[in-house]
Amino acid sequence: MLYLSDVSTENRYSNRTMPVAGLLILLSLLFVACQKKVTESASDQGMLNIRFQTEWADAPFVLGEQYELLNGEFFTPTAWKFYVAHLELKTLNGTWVASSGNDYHLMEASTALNLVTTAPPGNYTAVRFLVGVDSTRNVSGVQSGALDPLKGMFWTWNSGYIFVKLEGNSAASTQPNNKVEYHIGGFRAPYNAAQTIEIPLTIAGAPTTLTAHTTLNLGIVTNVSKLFEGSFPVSIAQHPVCMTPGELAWQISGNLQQVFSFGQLAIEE
Amino acid sequence: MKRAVSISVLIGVIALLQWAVGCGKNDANRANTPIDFKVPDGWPEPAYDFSSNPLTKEGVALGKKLFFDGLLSKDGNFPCVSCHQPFAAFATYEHDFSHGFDNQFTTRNAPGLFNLAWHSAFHHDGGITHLDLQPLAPITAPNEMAETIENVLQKLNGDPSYQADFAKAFGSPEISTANMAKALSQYMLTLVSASSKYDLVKQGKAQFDVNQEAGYAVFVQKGCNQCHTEPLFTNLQYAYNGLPMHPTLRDLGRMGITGRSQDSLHFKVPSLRNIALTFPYMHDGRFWSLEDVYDHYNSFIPLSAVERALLTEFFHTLTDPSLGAEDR
Repeated sequence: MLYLSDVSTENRYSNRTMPVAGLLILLSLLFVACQKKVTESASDQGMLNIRFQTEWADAPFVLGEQYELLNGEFFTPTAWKFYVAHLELKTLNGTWVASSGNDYHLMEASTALNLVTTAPPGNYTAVRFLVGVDSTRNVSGVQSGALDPLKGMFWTWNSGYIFVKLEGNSAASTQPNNKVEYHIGGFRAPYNAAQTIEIPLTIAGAPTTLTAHTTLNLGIVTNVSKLFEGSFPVSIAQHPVCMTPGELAWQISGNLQQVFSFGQLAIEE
Repeated sequence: MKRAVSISVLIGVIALLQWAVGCGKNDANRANTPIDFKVPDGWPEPAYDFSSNPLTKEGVALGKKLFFDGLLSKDGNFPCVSCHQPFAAFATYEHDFSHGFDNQFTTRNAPGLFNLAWHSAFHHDGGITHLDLQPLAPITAPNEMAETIENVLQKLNGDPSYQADFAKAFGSPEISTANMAKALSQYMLTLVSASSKYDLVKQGKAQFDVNQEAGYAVFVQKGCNQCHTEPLFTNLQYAYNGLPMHPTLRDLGRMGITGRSQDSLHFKVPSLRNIALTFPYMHDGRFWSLEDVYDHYNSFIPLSAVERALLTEFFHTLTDPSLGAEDR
């Protein structure tokens, strides 16, 4: 079986014997190659600045605060992390355009809840992204950057990424120290827990125009209470822990569709 | 004068050329000595993508150093080699379960490590999808090496000799999860076991004696090779071989990974290469000897006492003395 490898973007120019006449041309090519990363095209792209505004129902979400579920259970979160990948923008004719920045972003409550990337100018009606890690990356060996297994979002004994991690405590939990741990992930069919989330970019039906040199600031409300209270209601007493890929993780992952919603939108010149 | 100008221009051009070429990251790898991975004659193509991690003399040496270094474990006592012993075909000799951190046992029998380039999934349940990811499991398991990846990288990065080794192997002294894993893979990939008497016979360089020849015939006639397929002596699939579930470990095998009930009690078919060294047998080491294994299979592959003895003689031809050699 062949796996896609984590191909780095190093340039592969090598020294070759060339006629003297070609030497200067070769040299200039090499100089261009060296500067490739520095000068690459930032100028003709628009900026996309996405901020995930973490909330619990209508209140701000703060680690260490206690919140009440609709079912009367109490929950005190201690960690909230998730992967965002494959950001795409929807054009007027319905096709999707990929953003051009880093592909994977690890969002983490209290430290990193916004991501900045670039996209081609255009009129857009929606943005979509994957909450999770696609199956190719799950089976391609050791990754680096946001996907470094070092980040604590990787199951070593059952290769695969934890897509969403919510940890905390609850008196309703039967686990030691009243632990509550939801490690939601799993890429194998039929329980692939990665969810594609689509957020509209229209205001009063009008699309959003992104031009070069401007920044689209998008706030996405991330209502963590919906992880318990989405289409698959979760009782802490019944499921204090979900630590493996499989049916339960997949069912809970469906709630992510309700976790994320449009917040606000502004274009910054 | 003209000549002096052209010489200085030439020197300048050469200097610029060196500088320009030097910006390529690959350049740093030039100090490496590439190793050509040889696929033994008649063997299938390896599953491992060598282009993602080209073998070098320096990378393999570094991987070996890491494999033998207790620094990868929490208290320094549990290098990879503590459970994967060269003299036991890189299994744990004479142990059903291996010892880990804080007087704990593992929950499965350590498999021998050889011919890993042909495997695309690891552990008895195939839960690990890439050789490069494999070391992360024992390093972080609380009952094995009990460390964190972060701590291991910190310890390695704080050791100047490792920085030098990584610089030689990968062109940068920076030690990352990926580089550490790739170095370990490089060493493990070189553990090719293809020099047993069986292999010499297949190459026409040796001959089975009468009993070995008869044992080989039993092996084929009884259909052992349907799962233990030559030349790897495993078809790399998962199978249920009739073993009842372990009463306390309750290990469901492949089902624990796929969640599918049809995978219940299925385990990865082990290679029979070096079987004389890798006892006890089965995923939980419940059978101490080949006789125990024959007894287990007796209800569906009955063997006479003579057939058992011949089969055992054949199995001994699968031992590769070069695998555990010091200079490897």
